[in-house]
Amino acid sequence: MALIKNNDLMIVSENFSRKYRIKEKVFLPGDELFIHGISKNPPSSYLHTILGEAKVGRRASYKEGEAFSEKNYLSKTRLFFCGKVYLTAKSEQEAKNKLLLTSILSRLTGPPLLFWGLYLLLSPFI
Amino acid sequence: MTSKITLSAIVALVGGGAALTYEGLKRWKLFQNIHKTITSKVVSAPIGESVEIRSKVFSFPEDLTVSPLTQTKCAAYTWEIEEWKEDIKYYRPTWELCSKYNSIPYLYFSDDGKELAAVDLDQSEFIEDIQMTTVEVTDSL
Repeated sequence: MALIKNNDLMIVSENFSRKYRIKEKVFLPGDELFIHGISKNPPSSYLHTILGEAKVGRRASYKEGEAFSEKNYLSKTRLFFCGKVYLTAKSEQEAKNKLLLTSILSRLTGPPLLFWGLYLLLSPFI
Repeated sequence: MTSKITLSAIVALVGGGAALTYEGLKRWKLFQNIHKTITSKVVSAPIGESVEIRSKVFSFPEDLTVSPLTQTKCAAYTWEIEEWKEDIKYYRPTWELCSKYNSIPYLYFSDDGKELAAVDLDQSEFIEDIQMTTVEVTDSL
């Protein structure tokens, strides 16, 4: 059974034994994003993956023997981001504001909770 | 019984406080890092350093794919599959990440230059969600 609620598609089956949630993120061509991370030269594993994919075809929708354009990406790629990379659709300022706000809130509430928790925990021994 | 509840509350207080402090420091470090880094172009960005670029998702028209849930023609889509877990002992029901799927391993970005930046989607983390649809499925996938 499929339900549409607040533009979200919900699929519900008869059996309620296990419940899953799928979050889908979509990247449209031309979507402007702010990327922050450590840049690297494309590593050899990346080249192997790309060349391997170019050989076998990346997506199932490609017909067998069809020319694959991944090699075009390879020749154009200058920067490679691996490790932690932060992507956001918002402007840099908005991302920074949000980080700053959540950081301050967490740092204001965390240490007092930790202090009182430890105090209460250790008070019988003091 | 009362002392057990009190002890649980104190432990929760310590755990919550420690988690909040850690998260706060982590976010502060990231904020500082982003704040210090100058936004560059793909062509001129230094290699081997912390880099910040603002660019657009790039894909050749023949490589566009259709996302299964939203039926959107896109350059790439990612799935995070979470399972609803109920801890019977403490009754702490949560969504637990059980699998991730990316339609392509690398997402490409261009800032109108001729060169591209590739992002390993497995390693990336989102500060803000881009366009996200949540779908709930019961029973097995």
